[in-house]
Amino acid sequence: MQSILRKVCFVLCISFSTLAFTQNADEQVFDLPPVDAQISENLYSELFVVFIRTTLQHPNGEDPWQRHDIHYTLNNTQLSLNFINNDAMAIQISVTPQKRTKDSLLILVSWQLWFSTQNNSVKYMNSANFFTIKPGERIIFYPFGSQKGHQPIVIEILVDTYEHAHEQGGIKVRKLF
Amino acid sequence: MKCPDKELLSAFFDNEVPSPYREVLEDHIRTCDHCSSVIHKYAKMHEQLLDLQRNEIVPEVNKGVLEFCEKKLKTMPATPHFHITWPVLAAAAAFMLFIGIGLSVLLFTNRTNEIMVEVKPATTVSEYSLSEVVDYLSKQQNSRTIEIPGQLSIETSIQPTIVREADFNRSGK
Repeated sequence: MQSILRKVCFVLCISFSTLAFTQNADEQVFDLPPVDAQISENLYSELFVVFIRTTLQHPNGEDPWQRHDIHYTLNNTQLSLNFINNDAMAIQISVTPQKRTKDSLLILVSWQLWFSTQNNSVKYMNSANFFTIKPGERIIFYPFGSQKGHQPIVIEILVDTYEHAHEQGGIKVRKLF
Repeated sequence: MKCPDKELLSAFFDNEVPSPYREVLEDHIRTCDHCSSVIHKYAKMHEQLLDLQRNEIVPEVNKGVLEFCEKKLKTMPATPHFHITWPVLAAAAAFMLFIGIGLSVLLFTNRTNEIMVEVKPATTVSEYSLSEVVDYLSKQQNSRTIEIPGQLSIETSIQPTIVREADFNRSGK
């Protein structure tokens, strides 16, 4: 009887540790930059961390170009991000987070997109969406569609509370692809 | 005096009403035909029940019942005995745990639907060039600029998509 129980426990331990290891292997931790001096420490409970990872995929299978940025914004305060490629396009994304409960945030993501066509005319689009997310969850934006072969840019926007991010020692982001 | 209800009369008949209410009820029943007839009915019913208990079961019937029960017991299949062992219990507990985790994940991820706004097709704006747009954006206050390198070839029939991480993972992209 005891030997069977021991075996069951061993199998369960191995399975859980394998699961934890694979989860950690897919996760990257990004350090938090210093908070802007003009934001008072008294407002840290109202502060949000916005992590942005921009990926430019190459259709011919080359390694994608990638960069990440971390910015801060206060509760109910808009943060605007401009993604600019001088020759082809300009995107402005505005993120406004709002703390709802301890475990949920409401974020308003609005975007504007300008891109030039082959006959040098400029086309324009815009939209906005509300999302209810958990702190530390991402919104994934494909400004040029998500169909394979037609997704040159992927913008991941992760919003977390400063307190939560600070507690866990940075921003934890899992690999998307 | 108003006639008492049946529950009170029944309690009176069973000697459950204490003094001085009992005496008041006795006086009323003595003078009220309706209540005295109800008490009479209770007494009759009580008598019939006592008679039923006093009657003995006819011995032949008793014997027949016993024989029937013996036959029934002989023909009945033996009750199977389940012996639940610890590994079975552990497996059942693990199964219940997985079901519980699965259900809670399902419940917690099923959050309110997002307000998904339909994106209107692109509009051609001939008033300004892309460089003017870039200039305008870079001059805006409280905005951060991220330069994207290289030459992009953008499809004209683009369909921007924005999705929450949980939905992205669920769609298996």
